[in-house]
Amino acid sequence: MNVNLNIKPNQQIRSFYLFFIIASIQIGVGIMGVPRLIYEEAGRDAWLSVLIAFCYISLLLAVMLLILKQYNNADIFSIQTDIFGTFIGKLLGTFYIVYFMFNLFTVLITYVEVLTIFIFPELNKTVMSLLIISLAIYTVLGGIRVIVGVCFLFFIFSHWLVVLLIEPIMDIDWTHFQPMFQASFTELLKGAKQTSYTLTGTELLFLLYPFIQSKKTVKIPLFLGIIFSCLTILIATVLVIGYFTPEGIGAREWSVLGLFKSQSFSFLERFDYIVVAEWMMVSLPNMVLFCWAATYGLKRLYHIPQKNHFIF
Amino acid sequence: MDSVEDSSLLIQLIEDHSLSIFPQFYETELPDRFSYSICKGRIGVLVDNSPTGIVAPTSLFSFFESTEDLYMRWNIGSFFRMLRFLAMLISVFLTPFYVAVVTYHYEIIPTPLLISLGQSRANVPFPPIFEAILLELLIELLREAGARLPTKVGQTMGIVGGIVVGTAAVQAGLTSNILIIFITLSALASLTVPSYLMGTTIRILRFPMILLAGLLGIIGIMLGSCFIIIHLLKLTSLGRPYLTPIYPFNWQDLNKTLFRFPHHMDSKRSISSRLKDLYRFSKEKVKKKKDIDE
Repeated sequence: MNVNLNIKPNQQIRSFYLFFIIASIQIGVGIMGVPRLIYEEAGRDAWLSVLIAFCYISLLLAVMLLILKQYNNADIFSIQTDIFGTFIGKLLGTFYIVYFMFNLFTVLITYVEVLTIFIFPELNKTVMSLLIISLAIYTVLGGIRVIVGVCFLFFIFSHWLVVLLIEPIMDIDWTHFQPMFQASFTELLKGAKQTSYTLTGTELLFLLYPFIQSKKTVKIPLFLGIIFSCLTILIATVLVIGYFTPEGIGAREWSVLGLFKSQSFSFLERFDYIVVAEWMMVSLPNMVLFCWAATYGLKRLYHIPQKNHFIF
Repeated sequence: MDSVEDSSLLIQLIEDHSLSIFPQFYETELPDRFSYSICKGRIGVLVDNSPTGIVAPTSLFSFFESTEDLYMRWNIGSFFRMLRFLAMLISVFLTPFYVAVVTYHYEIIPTPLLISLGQSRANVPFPPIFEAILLELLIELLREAGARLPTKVGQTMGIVGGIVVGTAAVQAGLTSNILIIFITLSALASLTVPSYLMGTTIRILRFPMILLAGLLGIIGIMLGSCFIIIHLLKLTSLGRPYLTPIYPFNWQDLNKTLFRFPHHMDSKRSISSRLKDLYRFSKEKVKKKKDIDE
């Protein structure tokens, strides 16, 4: 296969949309439960773990950009076959494809689980998963432009939920954080490891790099995206530690949804129904991107056209 | 084709996506609307023997524009345009929201309202989805029946159907009061759209949403709205994306979509039309302002 890709101009995307792609991949289903996981490892200094994870991810991103800049217009599959030879290159590429498919299924299963527990206890999980997957397939069949549009629009339509967090912010008890800096460095590192599920997704830059119109303006949207998603995780962690008691954090599996449970307005009492339904707009771009990445990988490595993948 | 009687037949022959509900070409009978669209950079087609002209390519937001928005002051025109957009959202989502909440999630409704809702629904033997579909079909029947009648008879039909049948339905125990209010609101809201094509689309979109809401509750509404958004993203009109100022995002094109700036700021033409001459007039000449007491 060719090392450098030749992408038609009407399939290229502006680098402005990279911010939305990266931010929507990283703020997915993981953010609902991640504060509790970091708290179990690092205690009250969990926010330091988030900052360490941010530094690590920006380093990773710089390395990725360095790798991709060596070639004219290539993505990770062709780079691997170019450097390692055909057999090992294809093997490594297959690892990527399997990884993307696993990620897709974990996002789907987590979201259906959340739906089952919060809204419909007797939901038929298979039917629900099939419905959501068919939406994702419908999107992927439209091409890369529709996928980027989905990320952009659903990002805008779902981020009003952050405004609802004002009420827990008013009730933060800052004494929950004291005494500070008690956790040892290994505990902080273990906490940073727990954010890895949430912060994955930057590998999609490897696949999307040839589609970007101007490679010179790639850096700013990328790093802004990472800063935005790490900031969101930081705010969620700080809120969870400040709002809940130490026993309360361990009691719930999805702490961020617990923050929304106490919200009520005069015209709508139980807001967490709407929040969980709105979370579909947060997790659907995740699934769409992973689905596209897996099928695109199969197309690049094994030359199966993308339309035929959906027969399975 | 044997004959093209009307321009809408021409539209159906040349449009990109015939299977979609949403119209991809704009039909208008007003000459000022037609000339305004041509000055914006679109193509206008006139067909012999047909009173309507076709304008292409369109975006979703041009179906919510009306020429009065341009003639009124900019803040009032923007307000009405945003009101129309809000009306479209109300029209599509209000009745499904009622069906979903009353069937599955009655905990969302605040307690005082829940008591009065329970009182009005206590007489109704049917599930909410059934009464919602019944009333929606009734309104569509009234509209269809009144469409071809002469004016005086049509007005009587409206009064008879709307007021008398509605009140009688509540008293007979077929529906509840609150649902009648919601359905009337949605019907009114769908009539604010200036283009007849888009109005019918919105009315038809409500039915699958009611079904989804009745089957799956609020998740059904979310699935349906995600499907609509993805479908809109896929649509093209003469090759141009359907959601043009919002999805291929252009700051300058946001001028006339949801709100409108005053005309003396309108110095650049829209980018999405790919015109050669981008400037209408030079902004620096307009901006020469004097100091306070000069």
